[in-house]
Amino acid sequence: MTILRKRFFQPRQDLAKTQARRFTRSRFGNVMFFVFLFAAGAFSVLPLVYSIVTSLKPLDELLIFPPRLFVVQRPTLKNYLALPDVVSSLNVPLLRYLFNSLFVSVTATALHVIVAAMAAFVLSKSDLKYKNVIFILVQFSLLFNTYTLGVPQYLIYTGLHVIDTYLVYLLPFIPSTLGVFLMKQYMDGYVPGALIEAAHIDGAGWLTIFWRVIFPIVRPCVLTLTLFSFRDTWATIPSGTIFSESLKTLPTVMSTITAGGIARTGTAMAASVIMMMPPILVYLISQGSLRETMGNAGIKG
Amino acid sequence: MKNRKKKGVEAIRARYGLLFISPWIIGMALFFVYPILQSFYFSFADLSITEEGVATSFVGTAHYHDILFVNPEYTDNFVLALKDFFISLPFILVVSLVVALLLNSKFRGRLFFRTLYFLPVILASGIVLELFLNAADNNATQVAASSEATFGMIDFTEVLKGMRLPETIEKYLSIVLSNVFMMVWQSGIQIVLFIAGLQSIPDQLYEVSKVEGATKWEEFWFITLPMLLRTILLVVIFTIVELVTSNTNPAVMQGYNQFTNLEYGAGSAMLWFYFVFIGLFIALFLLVYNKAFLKRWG
Repeated sequence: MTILRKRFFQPRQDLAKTQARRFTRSRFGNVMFFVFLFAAGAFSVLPLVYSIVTSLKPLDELLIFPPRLFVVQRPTLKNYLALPDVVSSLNVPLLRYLFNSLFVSVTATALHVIVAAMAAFVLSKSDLKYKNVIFILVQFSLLFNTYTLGVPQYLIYTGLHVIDTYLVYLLPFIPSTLGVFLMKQYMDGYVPGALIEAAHIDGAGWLTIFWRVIFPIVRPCVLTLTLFSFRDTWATIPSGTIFSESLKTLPTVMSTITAGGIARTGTAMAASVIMMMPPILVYLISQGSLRETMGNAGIKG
Repeated sequence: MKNRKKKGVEAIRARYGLLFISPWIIGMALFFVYPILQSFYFSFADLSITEEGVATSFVGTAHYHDILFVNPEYTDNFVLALKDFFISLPFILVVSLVVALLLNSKFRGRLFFRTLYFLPVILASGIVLELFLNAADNNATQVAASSEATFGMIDFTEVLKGMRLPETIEKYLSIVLSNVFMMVWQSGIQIVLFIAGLQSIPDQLYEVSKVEGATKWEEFWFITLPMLLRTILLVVIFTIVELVTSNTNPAVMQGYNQFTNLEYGAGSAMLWFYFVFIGLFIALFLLVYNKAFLKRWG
C-alpha cells in the first residue's frame, strides 16, 4: 500500500505506456493538486484569519475606514489581556466557567460515545426483536433538534427536577441519536459477524467482545464521533434551563462579552478565537491518531 | 420456554443485547421519542402557558389547514427550502468526496490541509459562529465590505453566460457557484466521514489491484466506490439532517419564528409537515439505494 501511495505522485514507468498515461500525475498535475486544495481551502480559512487578525488589532486600527480586513500593522495582545478584566465584574471566577465547560463537554462526550457504541452494537449485531423498527425511529428522530423539541423537553426536565443542575446538560445529550446512527452504519459495514462468533466460541464474554474486539475495529468511527460530540457540547448554551451563575459554561460568558458594542470588537474577537481553539485541538489529536492500519483489523483472507 | 432453550447462544445474545441497549433506549424514550410524540400532538393543538405549566386545547387540523391553504407564506418557504435542498445535496456529496479523496492520499502536510477543511465545522457550530457574527456585527461596515471584497469579486453569472450552456445547466451552475462558499462550509463533516470511510478500506484490495495492473481510474470505480457505499449512505443521511436542521432553511426558520412568538401549535405543524416530507424522501432513498446498490455490491 505504501508503495502504491508513494507512486501516486510519480509516473509509473514500469506499466504499459497507455496505462501509465491514463491516470498518473505529472509535475504540473502536482502543482494543480495543491492549487486546488489551497483555493478551496481558502474559502474555509478566511473567516478564521479575519478573526485572528481582528483580535490582534489595537483600537485605532479597528476603526479605520475603509477597513483593512486581513492586515494588522501593529499587532497587540491587549485584547486578550483585557479578557480577565472584562469578566472580573462577574461574581464567579473565569476558571469556574472553564471548568464547567470542560467537565460538561468531556463527560457528555465520553458517555455519549460509550452508550451509542453499546446501542449500535446491539442494533447491528444482535437478533433483538424490532431492532429495524428502532433504527428507522433513530433516522427520523435525527431531524428533530433542541429547537423543535424545546417545549416538550423542558416539561420533562421539570418533571425530573433536573433544572439548574449539571444533569440538564448531560442527560439529553447522552442518548442523542446521531452517535447511534453513525456507529450502527459503521459496524454494519466493517465488523464481520464471524469475528464475534469466533470470539464467542473462544469463551469471551460480551463485555470482553465489546471492549477488545468491537471497540478497536470501530476506532475511526469513535474518534470521529468524539470530535462531533465535543464540538456540539463545547458550544452549547442552555436556554432557560440553567440559572445559577456557578453552573454556566464558558460560551455563555463569551457571548456576554461580544454583546458589548463596537469598542469591544477586538476583545470579542479574542473571545471567539479562544472558543475555537479546543475543538481544533481535539480534531488534531483525533486525526493524528488515526492509523492507516485500521482497515486491516478483523478477518483476513 | 422451549424455544429459548433451543436457541442457546442466540437467547443469551438477545438478553445481553437488552442489557447493552437499555441505557440508550431509556434515554431516547425519555428525551426524544416522548417529546417528538408530544410535539406531534402540539401541531394539532393550541398551547397556552399557565401557572401549572402548559395547557393544550385540541384544534384538529386547523394549523395544517392554515399553513397550507390560508397563509401563502409557508408554502413559498417550503418550496424554496426544497429547491435549496435538492441543489445542495448532490453538490455537497461530490465536493466532499473529491476533497476527501485528495486529502486521503499521502503527501506532506496533509494534516494541515485536513484541518483547513475541517475549520468550518468548528467555526459554523452554534456558539462560535454566534460569537463570530456578534463580534462582526459590532463592525457592520467591515463585514459588509469583507463579504464583498472577498467573495463578490467574480460575477459568476457573467462568466457562465459566455459559455453558452443549456439554460437549465447554466441556472444550476450559477446557483451552485454563488453558493459555493456556503457549500464548502457545509462539507466539513462529510469530508471527515468520507476520510474515515476511505481509511477503513483494507489495503490488500489496492495491493491486489496493483498486482493485477489496474489503473487509478479503475481502482476508484471498482474498489473505492463499492467499498464506500455504506459511507455514502451515511453521508447522504447526514447531509439531509444538516440541511434540514440548519438555521438558513426558510421552512424550518419560519417554524422556529412561530415558537418565539409563542405559537407552538402552528410552529410544530410547520416543522412536522416539512419533516414528514423529508422523512418520506429519506425512506424512498433508503429503499432505492438498498435495492440498487447494497444488495448487489454491499
